[in-house]
Parts: sequence; C-alpha cells; structure tokens
Amino acid sequence: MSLENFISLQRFTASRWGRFVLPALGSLAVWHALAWVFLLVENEREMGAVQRVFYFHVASAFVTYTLVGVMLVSALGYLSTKKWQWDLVGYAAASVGFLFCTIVLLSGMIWGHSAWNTWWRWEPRLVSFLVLWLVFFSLIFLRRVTEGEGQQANLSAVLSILAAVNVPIVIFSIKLLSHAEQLHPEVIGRQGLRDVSFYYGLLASVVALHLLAVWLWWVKLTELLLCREVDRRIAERED
Amino acid sequence: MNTLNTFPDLFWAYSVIWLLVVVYLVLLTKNQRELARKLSETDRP
Repeated sequence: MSLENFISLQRFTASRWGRFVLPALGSLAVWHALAWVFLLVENEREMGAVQRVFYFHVASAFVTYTLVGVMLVSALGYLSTKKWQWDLVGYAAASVGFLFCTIVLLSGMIWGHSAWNTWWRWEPRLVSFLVLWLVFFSLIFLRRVTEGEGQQANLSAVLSILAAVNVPIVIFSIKLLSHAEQLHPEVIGRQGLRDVSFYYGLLASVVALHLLAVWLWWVKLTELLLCREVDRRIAERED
Repeated sequence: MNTLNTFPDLFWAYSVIWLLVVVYLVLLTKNQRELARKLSETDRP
C-alpha cells in the first residue's frame, strides 16, 4: 500500500483500528500493567512505594525514543520526497512524543523529590533530557507561529533530526560522570532489576504505553488530516 | 530498610501522568469535533 493510500482522511475516520481496536488494546494493556506494578511487584527495599514510579517513568522514556525514531524516518521521508503525508506522520509523532517527554520529566522530578530530596539536579542525564524536551517544545511552538505548509514541514524535519541526534546523547549521558558524582541511577545497564517480577512489570509498562502512544498518534493524525481537509475546502471556496 | 512513607509521592506521580494523558486526549477529541463541524459546514452550498 502506498503512503498516499494509507494516510488519507477517509481511511483514518472510517477505520475500526483507530476507533475500537487500538483504544481497547491500549486500555487493557494499561490496566494489566497497573495491576502488575501496584498489586504484584513487591516494594523496593531502599525507596519503598515511590519506586513504583520507575515502571511508567522508564516506559515513557522508551516511548519517547520510539516516537523520535518515527519523527526521524518521517523527516528523511519528507526531505527526500516532499510528500505532505510524511510531514503529518512526523508531526503527529512529535505531538505525542512531547506528551511522553513531559511525563518523563515530571514523574522523574516527583520521584527525585522523594528519593534524592531534590526536584532537580544539573547532571548529564537530566540536562540532556531537558534539551530533548526543549527541542519538542520548539518544534510545536515554531510550527504554530510559522506560516506556509512547506516552511512548517521543513522546520519540523530539521528539528526532528535534531531530536534524533539528541537521543543517543541522552542514553549515553549517564556514562559522562562517575556514579559517585550523579544521583540518577543506571538501573538497566547495571543489572539493577534483580527480581523477575521487576522485569515483567517494566516489560508490561513498555508494551502498554507503546499501545497507548500508537492510539494517541492515530487520533492526532486524524485531527491533522481533518484540519488539512477543512483548510483545502475553505481555500477552494475562496478561489 | 526505608521507614519513610513515600506513598504520597507515588500518588502524585501517577496522578500527573494520567492527568496529562486525559487532558491531551480531551483536547484532541474537542478539536476533532470542531473540525468535523467545520467540515460539514463546508459541505453546505
């Protein structure tokens, strides 16, 4: 199926996937993950109850990285073909990515307040993630204040590539300082999840939030297609 | 063993997560309805 056939208003508004299957699958997966995280996983020894923030905090970060991947593919697709469908796919991913990026920052701050007794600390992982959030924010803000479809799409493509360049920096930023010099833990890389139930809780959360993100992406893309169609019809009338 | 009650922070963290998701979804749905209304208006002669 070609991109033009797949990204169409008729397909998105009539699709059973977006209206029933994805919301149902997403909700089920989220309830399953929440039940696992709150009812089955045991309290962590050092941090107590608040450690359960870990599952949705880390899963939201994974979703953000996946959406940045979608943004990168869309940006390269748009820059090489100049098809508006790539631009909308990327912008919908950026919008949902901004949501999950914000969730990571806020949930991390609340967790940090409890575990480290501070809301924020200027250390590599936190600062590089804040930069990623600022790239998302710039993309959405500048797109709103820029006029012209081509200009908006070019701007989105450039900022999407910038976001993609920033993701490896976020991932490897934890290695920049020794563990004694920073508070943010390296849980997965240093085998910090010792119990199988911890691993399963994280896996269930990652799957659930990815399904939720796909549904939100679908809803956002439908909105963008509707908006484009309204603009097109209004322009036709004025002509 | 941790003796502090860290449950309030857990509550706030998950409340913020779901509040953001719900607000985002409500705004999207509201925009979609508005756009669908405009689209039906453009159908009229």
